[in-house]
Amino acid sequence: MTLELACDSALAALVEDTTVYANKRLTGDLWKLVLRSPRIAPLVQPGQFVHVGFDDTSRHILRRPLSVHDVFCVEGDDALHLSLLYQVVGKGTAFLTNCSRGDRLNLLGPLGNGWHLPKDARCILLVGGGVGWAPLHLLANTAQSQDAEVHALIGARTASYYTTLVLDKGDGPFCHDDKPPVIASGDSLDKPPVIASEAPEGCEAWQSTAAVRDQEASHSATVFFHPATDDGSLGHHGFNTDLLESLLATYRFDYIATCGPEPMQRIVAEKARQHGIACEVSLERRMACGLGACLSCVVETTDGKKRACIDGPVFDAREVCW
Amino acid sequence: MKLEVNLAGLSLKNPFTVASGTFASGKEYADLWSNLDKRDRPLCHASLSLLGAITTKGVSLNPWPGNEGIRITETASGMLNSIGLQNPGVEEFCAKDLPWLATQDVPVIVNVAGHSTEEYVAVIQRLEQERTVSAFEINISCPNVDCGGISFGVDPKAASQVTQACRSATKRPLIIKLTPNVTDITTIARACEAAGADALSLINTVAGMAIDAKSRKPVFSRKVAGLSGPAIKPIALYAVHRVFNAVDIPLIGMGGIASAEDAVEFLLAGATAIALGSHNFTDPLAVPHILKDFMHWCEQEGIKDVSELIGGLQ
Ligand SMILES: Cc1cc2nc3c(=O)[nH]c(=O)nc-3n(C[C@H](O)[C@H](O)[C@H](O)COP(=O)(O)OP(=O)(O)OC[C@H]3O[C@@H](n4cnc5c(N)ncnc54)[C@H](O)[C@@H]3O)c2cc1C
Ligand SMILES: Cc1cc2nc3c(=O)[nH]c(=O)nc-3n(C[C@H](O)[C@H](O)[C@H](O)COP(=O)(O)O)c2cc1C
Ligand code: FES
Repeated sequence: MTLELACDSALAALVEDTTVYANKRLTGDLWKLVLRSPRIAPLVQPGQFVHVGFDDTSRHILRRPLSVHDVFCVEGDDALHLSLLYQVVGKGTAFLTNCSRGDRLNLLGPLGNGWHLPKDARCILLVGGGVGWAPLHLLANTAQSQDAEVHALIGARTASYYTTLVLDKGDGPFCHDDKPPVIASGDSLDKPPVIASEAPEGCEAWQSTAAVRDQEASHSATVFFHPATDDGSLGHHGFNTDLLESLLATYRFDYIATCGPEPMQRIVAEKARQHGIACEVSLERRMACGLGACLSCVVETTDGKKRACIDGPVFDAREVCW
Repeated sequence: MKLEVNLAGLSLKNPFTVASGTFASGKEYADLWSNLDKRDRPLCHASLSLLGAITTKGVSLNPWPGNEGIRITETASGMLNSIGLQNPGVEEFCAKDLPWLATQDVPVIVNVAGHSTEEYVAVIQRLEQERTVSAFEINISCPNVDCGGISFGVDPKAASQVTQACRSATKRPLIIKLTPNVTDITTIARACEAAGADALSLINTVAGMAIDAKSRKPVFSRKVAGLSGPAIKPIALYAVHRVFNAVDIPLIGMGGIASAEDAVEFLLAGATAIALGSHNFTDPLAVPHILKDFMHWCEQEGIKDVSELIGGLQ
């Protein structure tokens, strides 16, 4: 199967002063930021990111790249909002935790070359390591609207990290719709739904809120989650990549997308290659301009050095020289 | 209000240019600016022609791969970079960037990089065939390459020799870009002036390093990297001030400019033009924003001609 452009990815970036709608710790050092973004949010394609600017530029002169996790409306406001999931790892992300409702945050975006989900994909696998789930979430929604069966192999530290990451069970004003997330029956799928055996009760298969919102998508498309946790508190005890081989043997995936730690992505890319499955990876590099001008973010590819900010962050796995 | 300045025979509609390497050839920024809604545009036609001149990324004779590993890190009020002058070489620059730049209605200063005097000259000779090139800025001050670059900029003899060789290769304005990583920048400045430079750019980045305490390793593969941003502004201002008093040729001032007032300070210290560098990363609309603020500042202060500000330190 050839990788097709699911979207037109010409540079359509804008600079927007967004307003913080909510900023909440989900669990541990995982936070979620919801921004009112009437101008950038409508342009976002799955896999794209925004470059977040800080207003204390006397300390932080560089923006921070964060993937767009979701795009949605909140109650009583027609303007689109977008959410970012972020892990506090250093000064910039620590600074972000200070934002509160009503604050302004300057975004540059949407940036980058997102996922290229083949239009005829029937069954896809998303492999996310920790907060690497962020850019995969919108892709899951898109795949569902294309009627593809979506499997998500998620690695997380603990059960609670996993559930907040994936199921958005943070106790904030994060309910995207007036309707709560629905657990799909999977009735109308060709195959009977295969529920990941280790999943906690009630969370095995989850219909995304976007699918609920979209009247046309009342086909009960589901996401089948396959969790792995570092401490064994949920699902497989160990790396999510330990489960790859058995998933690849069980399902006929025609597309794999992955984001997370590079060693994990590398294993996924290698397995995909062995099985002849189209695979895309989303790579992280330090970025200054985010626009393709400064060459801070280069990735070594079979076609020479490319820029993660504009040629990526999503790359064809076969193209990357690991 | 008269914004126009004359930089060594190059007429600039205002004193603003960009610092080499922070702006590529400008297309990425021009694309962004053209996406702005009318109501968001700080000036009515935000295109590259807003600038007095554009200064390109360093161009070398052959393609350079740049440095391996991590290339940037943030520091207090600044950043370190170790890009290593990655560029596709002068042929590709002529084929891809110059035709686009020719449509932009803005003077083009091409920043030239080389490992040897011969390489600088060869790049100039190739660019001499191109009408779009308005001036050359010779980078003898980059801390991020092993051979060439800064080694010419720290020794008055070497600086003079490169300047002389470049001088004999072109009649177009020749700007030499200086490093602050020297004992006395005025010695180098005088040597370049004597060897035929028409103008000087200062400063390039300040040599620095970053260490990862956990891994106990340097962050950058070459250890050394170049510090830029507001952190270096005082160093840059002082360098401009001293060189202004030491030579008679015009200066392009840069180093940490992040506001209209910063730009004014550089003019007062003696710069004829100023370049916005790392601040483009903080605010990709820095050029239109600061230009607008600058005009406003001049209006409020009753400045009729920006030339009044140049070297106007009391
Ligand atoms: C396209 C893209 C999408 C991303 N999406 C997400 C996301 O959705 N959620 C999330 O939690 N993180 C994401 N990251 C990683 C995130 O950008 C970094 O964790 C963050 O910049 C760290 O900033 P800091 O100031 O807290 O860390 P510090 O270590 O203090 O940062 C110092 C400098 O290094 C840069 N840096 C450090 N780590 C990284 C990294 N892993 N990737 C890129 N730059 C880094 C910072 O931007 C900053 O310039 C993404 C990175 C990229 C490139
Ligand atoms: C990412 C980056 C790349 C640069 N590349 C070049 C270059 O190719 N040639 C050059 O002469 N200077 C280069 N410089 C130096 C700048 O042009 C400028 O002299 C320096 O950054 C100081 O200005 P600033 O503090 O406003 O950034 C680069 C600086 C940065 C931050
Ligand atoms: S961040 Fe500047 S080129 Fe990618």
